[in-house]
Amino acid sequence: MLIEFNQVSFRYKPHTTNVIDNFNLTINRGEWIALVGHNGSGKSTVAKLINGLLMPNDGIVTVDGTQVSQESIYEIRKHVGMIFQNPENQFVGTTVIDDVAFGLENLGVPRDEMIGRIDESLKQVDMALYKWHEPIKLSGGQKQRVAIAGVLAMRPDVIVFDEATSMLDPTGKKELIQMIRSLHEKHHLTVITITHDLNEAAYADRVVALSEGEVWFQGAPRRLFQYGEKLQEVGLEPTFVTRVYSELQKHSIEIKQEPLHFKELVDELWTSYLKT
Amino acid sequence: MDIIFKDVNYTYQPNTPFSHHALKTINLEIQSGSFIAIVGHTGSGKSTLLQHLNGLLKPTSGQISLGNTELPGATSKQLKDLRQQVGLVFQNPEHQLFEETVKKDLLFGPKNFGFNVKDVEKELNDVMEQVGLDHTVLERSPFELSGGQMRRVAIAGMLLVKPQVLVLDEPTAGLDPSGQKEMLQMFKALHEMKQHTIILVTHSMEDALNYAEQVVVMNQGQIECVNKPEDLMHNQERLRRIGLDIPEPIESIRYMKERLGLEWQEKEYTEEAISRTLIEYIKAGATS
Repeated sequence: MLIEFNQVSFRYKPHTTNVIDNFNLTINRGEWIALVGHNGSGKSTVAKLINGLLMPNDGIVTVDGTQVSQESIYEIRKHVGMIFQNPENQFVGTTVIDDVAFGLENLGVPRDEMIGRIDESLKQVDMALYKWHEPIKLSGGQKQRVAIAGVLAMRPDVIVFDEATSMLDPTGKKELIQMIRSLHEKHHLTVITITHDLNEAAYADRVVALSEGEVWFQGAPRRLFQYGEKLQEVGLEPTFVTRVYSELQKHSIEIKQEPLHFKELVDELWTSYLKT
Repeated sequence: MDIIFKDVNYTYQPNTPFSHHALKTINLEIQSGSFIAIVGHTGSGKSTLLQHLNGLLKPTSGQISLGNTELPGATSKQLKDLRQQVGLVFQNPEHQLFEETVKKDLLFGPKNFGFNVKDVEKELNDVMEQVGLDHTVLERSPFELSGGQMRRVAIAGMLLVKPQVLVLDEPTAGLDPSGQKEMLQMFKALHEMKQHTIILVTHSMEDALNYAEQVVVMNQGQIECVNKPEDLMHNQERLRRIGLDIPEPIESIRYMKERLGLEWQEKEYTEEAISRTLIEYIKAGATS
């Protein structure tokens, strides 16, 4: 177990309602968790509680056995990397290599080791050729990848992506999701993605859907998709394939499990109904 | 007000090493009262085109007529009128809020254009309702509101200036799915009830397909094609080549044809038509 929320409550101002209320969640090492929910459901608050950007009013958050507190946040932040929505807001260096070096300099990593780590992390996000480029001249997707390299160089145990794709164009979005998948699979990185796009959540091992600061659903993406139109009650939009499949089910057309993608639906229909 | 672009070129920082030819020979007609979508990859020239619509940028060469106003060549009085008639909502318009209360922020634009404040105040409640905001937020600070609410305030502020043309640059970016839908439905309603011309700039081919009457596809500073939404189907390869997302229903129909060998006979490319086709096809296949 890498991250644990134990009876955590949080409110932004005293005497207001809790944004997060009696929240419990366990995240295992190597897992990919998608936190989904409508605007204001508390999902970003959860992310900020993991690395001590916010501190709980009640309850305990632990990362790798250490309780998140004012005393431990610097230690915690070595383990937890964060990527935010707007890549523009996270650059400090004038070149890509400077930018990736920034966090390492803060940690006082020796120069030789630093060079090695920078090269390795830029290679992991496929940006090694852009070492000497200016970050502001890169596309949105490339900027997010440089931001990820900066985080990877710190060798974190977990990376939290807080709506990291929501400001990218469709191509940038696809590339970034591909990137996250490969980091998760090849490097066994623990990943937490915060999103309201269920197409994106479909890739996770486990989805946690929040509503009004509480866990509304927890389980495999396929099981979440089974809720169909009910998802709208908590401000989530069923994906295209879910909507088509619910229509088919009304006509008693069923396949063996809830489909995650349209291709999967069509392939399964072929196998179940049309293969001769 | 009809909008006509004739051989419009725009170059950023001409005659310098940083010179960038952002719009190349643009010819485009937007009729009064229509709903058009402009789609294109990042850097395709969408935002540059948009800034010509109320004279923030003026063509390096070529001519734009916006109703009775010609660019270049408009007087500063004409430009001021143009900016009242063409309401531009930039990406993340909530960043432009600055007043102490929502009400003050809403009145700022109309005051600047010389509207009678008393008259505008009477319209506040109506406009708030149109954008789906409760009037209780009027006395609150805009900075206490959620992102979606702030964006509605910014849009309400624009509506109070009574523009005929609404130009919207990615108005749904960063909103949650139900927020996105509500926002687009709101513009659709404004278009239908008040005959506003709507120019929607978006990355989302799905939104273009669902809401617009015409879709203008831009690529590398040029207009690649102007299509009715239903004709986009025949331009898939072209869209893919310039890095645009194929709308999910269209991609799905392609896969159904390829994998199941079925024929597409519906007129529309909607989710309902896809479900219907699959159901009929399977029922026919299961009985034969």
